[in-house]
Amino acid sequence: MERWKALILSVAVGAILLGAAQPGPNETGALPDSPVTETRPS
Amino acid sequence: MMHQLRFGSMDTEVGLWLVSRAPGASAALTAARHVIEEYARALSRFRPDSELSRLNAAAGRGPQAVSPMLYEVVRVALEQARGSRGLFDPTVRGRVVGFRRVTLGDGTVALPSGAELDLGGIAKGYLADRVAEQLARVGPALVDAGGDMRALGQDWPVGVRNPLSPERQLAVLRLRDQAAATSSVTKRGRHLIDPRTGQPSESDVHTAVVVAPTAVEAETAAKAALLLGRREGGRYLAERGLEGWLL
Repeated sequence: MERWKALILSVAVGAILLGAAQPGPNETGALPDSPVTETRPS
Repeated sequence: MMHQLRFGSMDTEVGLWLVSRAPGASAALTAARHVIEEYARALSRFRPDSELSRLNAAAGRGPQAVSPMLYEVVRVALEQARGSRGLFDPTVRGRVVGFRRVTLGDGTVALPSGAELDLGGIAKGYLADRVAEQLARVGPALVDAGGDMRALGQDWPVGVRNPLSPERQLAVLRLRDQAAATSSVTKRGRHLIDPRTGQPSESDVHTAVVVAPTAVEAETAAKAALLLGRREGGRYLAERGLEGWLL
């Protein structure tokens, strides 16, 4: 494979993997260890 | 992966959190939001066209057919009113008529003349419970309905707002298969009415925070303990095996 094609392919694969690791709509990506909210007079 | 959805509804802020890798997790949050908004439309007393407003307008005109949704929340409210010996009363709003004169029939609710139901507080607890149980089918879930919490499936850290300094938290609770609610003598400048007297509360407690198995129980117990004051309120919680802080 030509070098420039390999480069494009690796960038594309990287972008796909990065996209999969990023939170989508409504996702924060991490479990909470500090309060996400608080109880208050309702 | 944790998913979250925050939005305004029921005249307050609502938050939903769900831990799941299932492809339908985000859709489950959206569906939960629709459930909350449907209830909010039906149970709002600020919307003249809501089902609750129509029921209140029909007070004194005998049994009125209501939707299963409104019927269930009224049934839960009356159950909590009986269980709290009237310290929580969904009919209290300006004029005290008393929950004992509200009657349920086969899909109907009858309000006595002059009565007006206010389901604001209990509906938040009811929805926190119902929606959390629905989301928990997908994964561990936390629902915050305007400060009423229900946490299922894992430890969820939940702050306790400092009533004197709202930007600071008094403590952090770790809730798992539990609920929490807070009640205060003043809310948005309005003083809490004691249903026993029809007058503003003279409690020596400013804020009550209660942890209970369900948000409905926590909501009712927080209000009851607050009205009873430090000594009797503490006894009320202890009798029911509930944890709480009377501030």
